[in-house]
Amino acid sequence: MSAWASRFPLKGNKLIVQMLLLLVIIVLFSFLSPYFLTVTNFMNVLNQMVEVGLIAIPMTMIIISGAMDLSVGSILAFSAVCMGVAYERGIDIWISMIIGLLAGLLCGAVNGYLIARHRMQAIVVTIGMLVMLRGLVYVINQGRPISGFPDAFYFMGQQYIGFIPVNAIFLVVMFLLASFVMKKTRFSTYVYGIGNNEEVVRYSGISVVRIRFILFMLSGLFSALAGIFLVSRLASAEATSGTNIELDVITATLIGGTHIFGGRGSLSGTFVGLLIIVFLRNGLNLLGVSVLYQAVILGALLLLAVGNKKFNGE
Amino acid sequence: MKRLLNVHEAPIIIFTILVTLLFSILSPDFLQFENIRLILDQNISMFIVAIGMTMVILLGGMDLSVGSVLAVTATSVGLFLSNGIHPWIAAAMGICIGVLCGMVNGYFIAIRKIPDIIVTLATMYIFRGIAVGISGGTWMTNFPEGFRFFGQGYVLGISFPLLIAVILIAIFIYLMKFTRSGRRIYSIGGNGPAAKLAGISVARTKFKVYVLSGLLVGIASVIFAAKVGSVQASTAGSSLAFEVMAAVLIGGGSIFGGVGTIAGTMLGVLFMGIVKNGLIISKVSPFWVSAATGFLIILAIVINTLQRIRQNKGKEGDLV
Amino acid sequence: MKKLALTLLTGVLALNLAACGSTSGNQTDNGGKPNQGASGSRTYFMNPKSIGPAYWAAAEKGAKKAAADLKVEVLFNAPTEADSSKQINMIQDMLTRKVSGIGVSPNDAKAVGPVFKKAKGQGVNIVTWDSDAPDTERQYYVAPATDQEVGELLAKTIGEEIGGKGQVAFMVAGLGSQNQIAKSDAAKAYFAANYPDIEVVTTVASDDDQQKAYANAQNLLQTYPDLKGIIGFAGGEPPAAAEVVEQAVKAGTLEKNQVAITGIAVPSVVKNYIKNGTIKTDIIWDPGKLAYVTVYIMDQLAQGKEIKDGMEIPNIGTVKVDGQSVFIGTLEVTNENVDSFDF
Repeated sequence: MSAWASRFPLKGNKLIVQMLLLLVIIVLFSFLSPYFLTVTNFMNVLNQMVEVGLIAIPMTMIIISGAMDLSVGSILAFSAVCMGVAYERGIDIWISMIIGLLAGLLCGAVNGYLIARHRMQAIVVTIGMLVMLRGLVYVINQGRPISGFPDAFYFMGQQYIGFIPVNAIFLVVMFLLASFVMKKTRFSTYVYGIGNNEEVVRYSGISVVRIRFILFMLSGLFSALAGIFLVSRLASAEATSGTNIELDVITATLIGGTHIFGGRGSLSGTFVGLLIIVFLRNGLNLLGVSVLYQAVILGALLLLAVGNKKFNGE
Repeated sequence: MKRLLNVHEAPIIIFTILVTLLFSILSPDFLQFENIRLILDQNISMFIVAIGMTMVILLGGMDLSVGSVLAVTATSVGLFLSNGIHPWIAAAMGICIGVLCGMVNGYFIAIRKIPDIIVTLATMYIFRGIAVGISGGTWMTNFPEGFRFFGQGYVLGISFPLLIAVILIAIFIYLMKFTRSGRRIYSIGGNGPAAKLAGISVARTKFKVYVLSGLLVGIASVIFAAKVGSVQASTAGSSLAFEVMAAVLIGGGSIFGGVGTIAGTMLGVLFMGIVKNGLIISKVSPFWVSAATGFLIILAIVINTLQRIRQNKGKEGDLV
Repeated sequence: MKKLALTLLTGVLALNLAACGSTSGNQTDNGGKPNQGASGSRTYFMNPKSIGPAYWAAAEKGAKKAAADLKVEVLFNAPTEADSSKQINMIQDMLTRKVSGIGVSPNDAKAVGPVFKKAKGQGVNIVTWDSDAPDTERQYYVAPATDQEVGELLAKTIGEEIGGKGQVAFMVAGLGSQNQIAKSDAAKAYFAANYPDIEVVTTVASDDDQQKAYANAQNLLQTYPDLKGIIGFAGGEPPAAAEVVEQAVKAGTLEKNQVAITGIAVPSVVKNYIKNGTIKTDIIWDPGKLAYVTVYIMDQLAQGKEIKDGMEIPNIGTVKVDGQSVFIGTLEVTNENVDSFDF
């Protein structure tokens, strides 16, 4: 716990730098585009960031623990399509949703079993799952998108409470909950501990296997949640959804100050990182900047934001 | 027999043989000379890129930008050619661009000391943007006949690109096994701080490895362009990084560095090539192709891990 | 950390409040927009499936030309990969920008439903082009011909070339792509009805990856030695198939003209293959013209003018209008006319 405390001020500094960066981006775009600083646009952005945001929660934890999950995009599509197929077979939409969540949980469990229990390398296992699950999606529904869900289901992705989108509220609640877990519980100490020095955690009599397993299960569950929110927002479950989402998620996590080799990082940082990339993308879209330059700008930002911090000496 | 099983690459060799047997039972066309040549031919750029990736992973890093470097290089070669530059000069200039990309990666990783993943994730975005930008959104195609030699030519009855790949593999196996710089890569990946204390310049080695990786991707992309006959900057090599990384790790490499061989990686690439070709040859439903590919990758990893656990029963703690 | 999270939230909320405050200012700004619009500064957003393929680059040229001719502003942008949710995010962003019309080539016909509804609510005209989204709030659909017609045309072409019997393989870019499924289903139905001796052996998908398309074609020749024909249903497939066939002919493993190839491809990309006779007929339409017509239709809608059958579009000619669909017609590219195309 003492190590944790000594980390605290540093993390605070990082967060301030990130917030400043976010502020600069927002102010800049407000000057450049008259449409940027409007309620509709902000709510729009919040509505769009939900899927990446949900997955970023467990991804942050997994990266803190020193591993990585590249299969999230495929799990997202797999659970979305499982839910869609279940609904098509005449199962009630809410039960179908649970089936989708279970499918995600199952994928996470497979990842967790192989990585935690059998100590396989997370990156390869999840690359394998990435390819395999994407393939299974095509097996399940022959690549045809599934739609025609009942209106009640679209509530989650398309409705607003007041002027805030429902799914954004859900995302924030999830972030607060997860933040609480990562601050107040022993679980978080173990996660940080595994990322810093797995040996020590093991010798303290704590089951590293179980913690890792839980982390990958969480990743599966949250990816499935993201899949369901995506289907609700787009009204369609399709085979290609979530392709390359892992890159967005990892980019947000890294800009948010989580250390790629584990041991350091925070969910609040990830949240700011997330806001930075979505506002950047939205602002550039509003200005009509071609996606090609957007990619270059995002890459440069990643190098500057993360690189410099590292350079300034930790 | 027991000694054979203790060879680092034993599990992947056995598994590859098993998969080959399976496919030959499923389709008589599979185990034909013609088809084996085809598999080698299809994976030449993978082989070459994987050499560089092996070195990077041995250092404990990873290079996510290889696909984008391939796109930039192949696109610029296409531009040079369409401006009437001689094929050999265009190819050489393309390879130089690959080296340049490697230097950019190396500069940030080795000199500015930013973690590999972050740098290559960033340059992955940047190089891809540049590639599509310079292509102007059009395809690079209609290459002159002279350029096609790099992808389809024959020297003394042997396919020219295959010859290049074999020579490169031989050179790098020698470098990694028998030279001081090769052993340095292993020692840095195995134990960075210790290597530093032993007087090895970690930064210089890292920089060199990334430049070499860029060089190899440059060569691969010339072959890629000449072979496929057209380059689409936005998608060329888009899944290359993950595939090559999977091949290195299937071939016995460890993502934490210090473990792995070029020969093992080549087996890994061959394995992936066999799977991709075999699934189509044995007329598996198109919807099942990628599901089966992923399943076989996972199986290969499982088998690999079993071997490693068997070999390292005593020092299990050092793994993962 | 919870404290930090709270600070963060308050920060976001404060920004939102600030945003609230500034909307009034913006509204007057927007209020001024329509007046400007009447004086000729209308802005349209053209949204293809992705940025990068030559096909869309040719479309962009047409859209820009329309912008110059009609004296309007056209933004042409899309994600780098054909991804439905990224595309929809971009459309939402453009709705915020209050453009006068949006031309979309949807990656997923169903998924664009909600955002089209929102657009209609805001009074923004939506025109789909290249790919349709039926059962949505789109106003018009601009296409060369129906997917069924194109699929049948391809099947007819290859059927005639191979003499009505033998094995044919399909190459597509994405197994899940709606308009390619529609075309290949139509082609299959056409074979069943007119050429019962033609067998469709398989469908391979390249995921828009040129190298994968190339490897797929190699594997097809290896797997089906009696293969008579290949149909490529997306722009990248025919050139990959032609390249492989030419190489096999050169290596002596395949007779010339043993495998007939047709498909949809931009003439500039398949020019050499058509001249060598590897591809006899290629089906295409001018993507630039398609984009031009789309911008024109949006501009007509924005000015409240009527769209009617046989209407004359300056610089383009007449188009066929059937219900809510606008057809510009397909082109057959052969050795005789391949040099006459500038895209």
